[in-house]
Amino acid sequence: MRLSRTTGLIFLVGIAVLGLSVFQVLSIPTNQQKIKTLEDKLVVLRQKNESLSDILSEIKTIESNLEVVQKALPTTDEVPALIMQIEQIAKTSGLTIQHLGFGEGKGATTPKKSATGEVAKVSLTTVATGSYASLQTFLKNLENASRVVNVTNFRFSPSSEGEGEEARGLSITLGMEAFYLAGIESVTPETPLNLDTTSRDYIDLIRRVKALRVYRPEVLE
Amino acid sequence: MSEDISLLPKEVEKKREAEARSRLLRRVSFVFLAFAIFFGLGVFVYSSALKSQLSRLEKAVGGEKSKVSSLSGIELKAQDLDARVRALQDIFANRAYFSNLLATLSRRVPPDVSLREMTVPSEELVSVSGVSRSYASLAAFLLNLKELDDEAKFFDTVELRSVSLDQQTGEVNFDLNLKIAKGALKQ
Repeated sequence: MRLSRTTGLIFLVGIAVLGLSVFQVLSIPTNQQKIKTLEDKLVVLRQKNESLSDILSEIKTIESNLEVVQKALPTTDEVPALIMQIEQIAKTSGLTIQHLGFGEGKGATTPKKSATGEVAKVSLTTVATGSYASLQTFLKNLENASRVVNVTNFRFSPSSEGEGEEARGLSITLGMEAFYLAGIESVTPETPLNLDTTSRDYIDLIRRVKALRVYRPEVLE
Repeated sequence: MSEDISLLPKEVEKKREAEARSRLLRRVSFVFLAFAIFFGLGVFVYSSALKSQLSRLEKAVGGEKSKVSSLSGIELKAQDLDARVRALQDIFANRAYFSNLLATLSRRVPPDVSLREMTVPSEELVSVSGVSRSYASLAAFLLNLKELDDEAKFFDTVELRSVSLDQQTGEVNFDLNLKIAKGALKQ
């Protein structure tokens, strides 16, 4: 069977049109995927812009909250301020510090920065003398101090110094951890912004951190 | 019996058949072409719509990005605050409030019992050594430790490791192991 020239031509044109169409069809899923990605990105960016506009309207509060929160969780280890805080708390609680030891050479004077996004720890051991009541007050004050320090372990036994059990008091050893978190140095427009200044958790935390007691050097003097 | 006899010559009949087949093929080819054109047009229109949507979205994303970038200074502060708030929430949630332990113990120690040594290696265990004026006071102390505190247990287990009577002073020396209840040291 032979096709006429016209019929053959019509078939050829049809096949060519179909071929081109199939070529176009192949690019559709890629473009659909790109659109989906861009739509998602746009939603995130719009939400981020809305959040940033809200933040801009309360920037003074944000800055003051950041300042307070940075006292609790500074950007560097701030060992000198940490020593000062512990000594000040011990003094006001009735403990006498005999020794402060830092883990991993954290007592060095050059401030250390944590890797961005990771909370770093300064481990320290405090040896002190005092009474049960003063230890209790020390722990309470430490839990309410502006620079967050957690006690990880402790022990006490009768002190060998002084005469008589009452006068000798207790020899106390405490294992503690202070924390710091490096500041964020750069952001990209794609980085999601999750700060919700209206959430209950955020408000509670800010309230809690604001209620912590700040130990300043002048208080020591 | 009569028989149908075709009077047309065989060639003419074949030619007619060929013409009929050719007409059919031409019709099929037109239908195929029409389908291909419709399909192609559909694909072209849809594809063009996608491309134009893509281009609109790219523009919109670019615009939003530049808005975000213009507020990057504020964003840095907000991101920093957010990171610190989350980290502090986590630290506070996992913190052991050992002042609670000392306060609970001092509430439960009878007047004639005193604690001499205490080791708290973690937020779960406490080893206590102390002296009691009598076995009765020690028993009272142990009962106090097992008491419920505001409907919640503070110590899961209270284990008396050793008790000895000091013959010279008449006092009772004791060693205790306490297991702190989960969450008892949280605020």
